[in-house]
Amino acid sequence: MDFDKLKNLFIKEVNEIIAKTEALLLDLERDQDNIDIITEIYRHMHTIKGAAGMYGLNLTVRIAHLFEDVYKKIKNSEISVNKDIINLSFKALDYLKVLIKSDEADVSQKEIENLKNDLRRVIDIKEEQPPVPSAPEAKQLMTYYILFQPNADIYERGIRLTGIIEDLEALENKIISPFSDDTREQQGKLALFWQIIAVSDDRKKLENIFIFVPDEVEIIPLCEGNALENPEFVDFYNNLIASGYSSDHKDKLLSFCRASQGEAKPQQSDENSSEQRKQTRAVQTESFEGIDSVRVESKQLDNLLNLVSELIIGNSRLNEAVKNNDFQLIKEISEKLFTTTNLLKEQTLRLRLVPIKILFDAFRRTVRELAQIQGKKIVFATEGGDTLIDKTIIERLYTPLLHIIRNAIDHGIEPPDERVKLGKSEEGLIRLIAFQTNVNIFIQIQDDGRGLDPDKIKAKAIELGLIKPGQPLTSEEVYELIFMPEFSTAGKITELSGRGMGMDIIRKSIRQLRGNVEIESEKGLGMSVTLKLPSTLSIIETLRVSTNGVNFLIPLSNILTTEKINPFELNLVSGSYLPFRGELLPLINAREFFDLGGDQKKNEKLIVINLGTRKYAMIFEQIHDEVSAVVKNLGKLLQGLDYFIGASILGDGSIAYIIDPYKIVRDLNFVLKT
Amino acid sequence: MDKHKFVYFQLWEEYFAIDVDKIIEVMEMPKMAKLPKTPDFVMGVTNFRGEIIPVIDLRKKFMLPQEEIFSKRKYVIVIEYKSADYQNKIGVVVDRIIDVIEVEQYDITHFPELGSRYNPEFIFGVIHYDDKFILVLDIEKILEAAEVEILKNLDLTQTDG
Repeated sequence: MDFDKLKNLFIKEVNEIIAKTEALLLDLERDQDNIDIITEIYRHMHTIKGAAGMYGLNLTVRIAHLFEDVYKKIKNSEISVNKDIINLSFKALDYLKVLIKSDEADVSQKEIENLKNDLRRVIDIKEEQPPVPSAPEAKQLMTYYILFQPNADIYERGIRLTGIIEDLEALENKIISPFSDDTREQQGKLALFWQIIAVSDDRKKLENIFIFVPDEVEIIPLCEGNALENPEFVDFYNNLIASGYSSDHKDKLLSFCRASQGEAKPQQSDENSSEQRKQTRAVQTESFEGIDSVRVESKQLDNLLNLVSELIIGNSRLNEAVKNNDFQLIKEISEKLFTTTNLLKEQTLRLRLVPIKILFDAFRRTVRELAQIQGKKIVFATEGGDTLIDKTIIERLYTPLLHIIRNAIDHGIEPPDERVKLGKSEEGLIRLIAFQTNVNIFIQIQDDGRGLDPDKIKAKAIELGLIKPGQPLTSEEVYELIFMPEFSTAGKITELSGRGMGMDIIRKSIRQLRGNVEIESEKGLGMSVTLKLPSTLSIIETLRVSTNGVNFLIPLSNILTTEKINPFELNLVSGSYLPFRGELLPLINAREFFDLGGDQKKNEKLIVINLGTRKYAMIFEQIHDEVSAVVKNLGKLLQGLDYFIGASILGDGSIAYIIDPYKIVRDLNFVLKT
Repeated sequence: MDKHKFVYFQLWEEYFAIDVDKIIEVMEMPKMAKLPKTPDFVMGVTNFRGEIIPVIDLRKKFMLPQEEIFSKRKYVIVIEYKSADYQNKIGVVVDRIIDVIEVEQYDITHFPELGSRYNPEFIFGVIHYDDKFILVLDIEKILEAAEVEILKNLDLTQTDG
C-alpha cells in the first residue's frame, strides 16, 4: 500500500516536471539559443530518468535518457535547436506522459522504437546503450503454468495459505484448479494442491505471490499472449482436468501452445490498437486534468494547527465556565472563539487557492498547435499568472477559456498575409491576463485580430428575428446579441470553433461560477473578453434580508442601492415597472415571488440589483445585516430550485437562502424583446 | 442467514419500516427553515451536522390524514441515499419511532399491488410482525419521485409568474 502511495507521489512529481518542460520548450521555440532553458530541460529529463529508474519504468528511462542526450549535445553546442527537435521533444513528452500514466502499459513496442529511432537520429547514435544494464525486455503478456504443492507443514511455518490464494484470485486472467492428494488426506495431513493457468506481463509478479514458498511452486511459461482468450485452449484445459490431476498436464499444455502459436497473428491487432492510441493521445493534449492535490506551505499547516489547538483550549475553558455559571467569562471566551473560528475559516479557504498559472500554461500548448493547424502566426502572452484562485473555479474555467481562445484563433486573428496587407504585424497577439480586486478576479482574453463587426451582428440578429430592422441599439446591446443561443457571426462551421461552445454556453458556465462575461471590441483592431469571477466559491459577502421570517442573502456585489419604500404607494408603469432615478426597473415583490405569505407592511425595503447590463428591483420586508456566508449546497433533491446559489447557516444556527440574482430575472422579458 | 435490521415507525395509524443501513441518525424534530416554492410535502431544510438537508413529511407525501394522534413530539429519520453519482442526505418526518426489528429476508413478503392507498413502487415488501403489517419503504424510489415532483412544482410556479 505504501508503495502505491509513493508511486502516486512519483507520478505527480513527474507530471509536474513534464508540464514545466513543456513550458520551457515553448519558450525555447521563441528563443532557440537560450542556454539556461536548454540546461533546465536537460536537468528535468535527468530527474525523470533517475526517478523512473527507481520505479522500474524502463521504457520511460530509455526515452528520458535519449531526450537528455539530445539536450546534452545541444548544451555542448554539438547540435543546434531546430523546429524538428522542438516538435520531436513535444512528441517525446507526450509519450512520457502516457507511459507514466499507464504504468508503461499503454504504448506499443513499435511506437516506442520509432520514437527512440527518431531521437537517436537527432543525436546521431548508431548503437543503443541501455542506461540500465540489467533492464529486462519490455513487458509482454505471457501465459504461465503454475503448480503449487504446499508441504504439509505450511501452517507450522506461519504461512497463510489463504493469503496466497487471495493473491491468486486477484489476478486478472487465471484459472485456478484445486486438487487433493488422496494418500495425504488419509493421513490427515494438508492434502490440497493447486494447478493454475495465469496470464501476466511480468513473471516477477507471479513469483512474488509465492515469495515465502519458493520451493513448493513451479512456474513455467506456456505461451505468449493471453491463452485464456483462446476458447480452444480453455476447452483443452478443461478436458485435461476433468479427469483429475495428472503430472503430464504441463507437457500436454506446452505442446498445445506450441502448436497453436504458429497460427497466431498478433502483429495486426497491435497496429490497430496503436492507431487508436494515437487518437486518444491527440485528445489528451486538449484536456485539463484537474487538480487533485494542492501544495501547502508547511507554515500554513502550522498556523492551522495553532488555531485548532486554540479552539480546543477555548472549548475546555468554555466547559469550565459553564460549569461555574460564570457568565462574564463565557462572554469573554465566546468572543475569543469567534475570532479564532474566523481566522480558521480564512486560513482553510486559503488552502484551496492555487495560482492560475497552472491553467495558463495548459493553453500555451493549445495555442501553438491550433495556430500551426490554421497556418496562423500567433504570439501567446500571459500576465498575472500568480493570481490565486479557488481550485474548483480553475477546474471549471478550462473549457470556457479554451473556447474563447479558440474563437480568437479561429475568427479573430487573421492569416499572416492578410495581416500584412492591413498594416498589422505578421504575428497575431493573444494575451491572457488575470488580475484581482477585493472580491473579484478578472480574466481577460485579448486579441488584436478582426474584432466584432456590429453591422454584421445586427444583420444576423434581424435575420434570426431577434431584433427589428432599424431598432436603435447601443454597442453594449449589440454585443449582448452574440450571447443569444446559437448566434454565430462566422458563416461557416469550422472544425475548430464552430461545433464548440457558443458564447451563450460560455456565459452560462461562467454564471454557474457566479461570474459574468463582458465583451469589448473595436472593429479591425481586436476584441477582449473579460470574465469576472468571485475570488472564492465558498464564501460570499451578502446582505441579509427577510420577509415573513424567511431569511435571504443577496450577494453584495450585485446590490446597487437600498431604500425604504411603501409598497402601497408605488406608481408602477404598465403593472410591474418601477420608475427609479429616471429608469424603469422591473419590480419583484419577494413576498409574492417566493410565496412567503404574511401581510404586506407599509414600511418595506427596496433593493436595486445590478447585473451589469441589466437592473431590477426587489422588495423585502426587512434588511438586517451584512453576512459573509459560507455557501452550502442544497443537495440534489432541491437542485431544481436554482433561484438559490445555495444556503448558509447563520450565527444562531438558522438557515438563510442565498439568492442567485441572475436566475431571479430569468423569466422577466429580456430588454431587447420588449 | 440473511437478516436485516429495520427501524419500525408509525405515521398516522399505519406502520412502516426503513432498512437501518440507509439511516444515519434518528433525532427529535429539529429547527427547520421553510423553503419557498416547493410542494407541500417538503417541510423545509435543516442544519444536520453542518450540512443543509431537506426534510420531507411522509404523511403529506402519502396523503394520509393530518390529524395528530400523538402528543406533538415528532421525529426525523436522516437517510443517506445514493443517486446516479453522489450521496444525498434527507430527513423524513415520522410520528413515532417504535422499535428496531431484525427480520429474515424471507419474512419480507410481496406487497399486494391492488387496492392500496400507496403506490406499490414505493413499497419494497411487507413484514408481518407483532400482529401488525409493516410496510417496508423503498426510500430511494420515494425520494426519486419527490425530486420529480419538486421540479414539476417549480415549472408550475414559473409559468404562473
